[in-house]
Amino acid sequence: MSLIGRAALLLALGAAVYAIVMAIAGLRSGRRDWIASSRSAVYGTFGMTSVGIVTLWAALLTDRFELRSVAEYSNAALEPWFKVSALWGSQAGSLLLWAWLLTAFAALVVARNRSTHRELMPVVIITLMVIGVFFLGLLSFVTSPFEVLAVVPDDGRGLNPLLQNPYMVSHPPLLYLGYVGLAVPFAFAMAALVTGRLDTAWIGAVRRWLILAWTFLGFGIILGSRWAYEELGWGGYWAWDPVENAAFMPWLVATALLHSVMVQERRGMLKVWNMSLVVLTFTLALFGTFLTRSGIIASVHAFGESTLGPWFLAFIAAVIITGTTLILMRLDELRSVHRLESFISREAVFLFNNLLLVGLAFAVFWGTIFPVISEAARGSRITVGEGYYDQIAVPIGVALLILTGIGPLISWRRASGAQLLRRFAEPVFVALVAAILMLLFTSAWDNWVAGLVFTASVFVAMSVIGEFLRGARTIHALGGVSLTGAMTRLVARNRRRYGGYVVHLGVVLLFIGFAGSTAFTQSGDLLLDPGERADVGGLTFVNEKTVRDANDNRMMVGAQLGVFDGEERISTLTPAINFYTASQQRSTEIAIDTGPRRDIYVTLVGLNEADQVRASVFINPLVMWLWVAGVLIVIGALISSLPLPGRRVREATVPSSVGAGRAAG
Amino acid sequence: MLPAILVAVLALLLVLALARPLVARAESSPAPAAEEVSEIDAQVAGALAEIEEIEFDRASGHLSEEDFSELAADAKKRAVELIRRRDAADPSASDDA
Repeated sequence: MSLIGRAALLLALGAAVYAIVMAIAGLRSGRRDWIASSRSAVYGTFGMTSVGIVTLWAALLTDRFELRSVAEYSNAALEPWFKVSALWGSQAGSLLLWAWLLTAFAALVVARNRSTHRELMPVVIITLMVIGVFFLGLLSFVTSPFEVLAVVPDDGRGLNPLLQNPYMVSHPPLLYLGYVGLAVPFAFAMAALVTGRLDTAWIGAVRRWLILAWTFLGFGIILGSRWAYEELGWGGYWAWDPVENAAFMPWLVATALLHSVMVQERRGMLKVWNMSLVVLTFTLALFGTFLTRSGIIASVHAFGESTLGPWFLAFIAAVIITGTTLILMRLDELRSVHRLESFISREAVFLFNNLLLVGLAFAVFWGTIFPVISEAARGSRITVGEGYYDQIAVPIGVALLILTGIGPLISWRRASGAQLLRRFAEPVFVALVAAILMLLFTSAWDNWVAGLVFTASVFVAMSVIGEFLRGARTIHALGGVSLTGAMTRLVARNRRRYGGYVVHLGVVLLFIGFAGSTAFTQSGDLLLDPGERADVGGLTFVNEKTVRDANDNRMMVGAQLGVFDGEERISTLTPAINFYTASQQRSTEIAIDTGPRRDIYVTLVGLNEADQVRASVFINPLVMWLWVAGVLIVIGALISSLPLPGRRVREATVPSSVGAGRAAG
Repeated sequence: MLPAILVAVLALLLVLALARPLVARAESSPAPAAEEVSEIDAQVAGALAEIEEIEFDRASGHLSEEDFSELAADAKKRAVELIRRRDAADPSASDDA
């Protein structure tokens, strides 16, 4: 198996190098058959990398403990789906996943652009395959997933118990789909810069890739948060951990890019900025992988010390230098067609949104690498706490939320006072009424930041819903269709815009979840003898019985707790502790009762022989809306990325008023 | 022995795949002119979608008449340029329409 795997990766590496050489030669000579051969080499690279990853999966599923990647991350009794996910538990396996996804995306890009973007495609192939060579080179010569052990153990050490969770089966591949997907916009941007085709064609080619990469990355982050919430047991879902930050930074910059490309498409502005954001986004995607793999920063998600750091740093430096040099060389051609005419315009809102997003990304970057810098400068590692991040992220987040509501209401170029009054009156009025009602009848304003977020959320929701209604009414008035039919047609004819608005509604729910769960959490510790009861956050917890269970992989011991609101039983929770036989490690299994108003979250800390329970309880309001938001954001993003129905382009002709032929079709 | 044979088969398949376009030079992909036309068609579709969006923005009150005129003129100019390029690359398109 080792031989097949290693050979497949070496063949993939060879094919990638061949693709680069043939694409360069084809580009210089204009030989179409050479370019075609480079395309075949991209498919070949994908095919060989697929053989490599399938071989490793086969090794994991058939317990081939002679391989280090199997012996150290799996064991015979491990459930099959965790054996599948054990592939990305190891460093080499996760890099193999990166390489496989990259080659899959490269093959898809080549297949989809077989007869389009002829000038760009050779450079796109070169760029994607250079990235491929980097990863396949690491896998072949630095950290092989097919390394054979000198002494073959009878059984493996098993997968880290924290990773034996359904969210860990899907979270890393989703993150990687996001990271790797960002390579495609980067490759097209490089192609536009190299060829001088700097119109919006390259943006059109990558828009869907960008949305999909953004969606995968965002959904991966949300699933990672859910994993942390359900697995780590501290009651929260986000702790500004370096590896969380590693995924969050490219997502923030990609969000900025998604907005700023619209300004370039509509107004011919921000061309240099957009190119810079593409380079930055991909650099941060690589940096994210570097953070997780280099062992430079301690994290619950990281993979310990490794020898990959210098390689990644060198490659990141090469990406930055190449991107920056190309942008500087094309600076004159990247000049904006128009200037910003007013700060009260949609392009100005997008610009502010971009500055805030990139500013936040920089602040997160600084906080993440500060321990390394402090160690280099002073010899002692100083870790930046949550307070630093919250201090920056909260005001920027609230400002971004408000801009999310302002953007759709404001016109391109400039907005008049009358227009602003007409547009803003309704959402602002409803938000103010909501704020007063919350003040009078709820505790939302006990925390003023939360009160502000809830009020801003109402404003944004009204702004977005108003856009849907206004658009539907316009179609209804123009086309004589019913209002419901007009709503469907509205979304169908401009999926990008209205899918984006659905994402904005998801963002509103996200902020409501953040505000509720951070500002109003209640917590307490329990120490209960059998049958004893205690109160936390207005709820009563009763130690009802001890539960024990075992299988080949683990032993479980848990406590059944009855949860009462007054005399009414509202839930029964069984927090537990698992002992994994192979790895001799333990993990806590959190018990959560989820609801739209609040989660009841219990972690078992200890259970002694007298069945006395020690547990931590958290009452987390509105957390469920974070996960609902995640789903809504994915739905909106998918709507945005759907292709428009075919247009009868061939009937379009130049109107006679501009000098040739018949009326425009 | 079997793994070595498998590796040899993989290598052979890869070489065949890479060599095929070089041997069969008259491949079945569209001619350069047809590729260019199809590429410009895609850009024309984008330009027409942009004009529709600007018109919709005016109809739903997002653009003043002055801004609409300027933005629509820009977008139409781009579309006209693209259609001319397309017609120059494929004169039959203007005859068929």
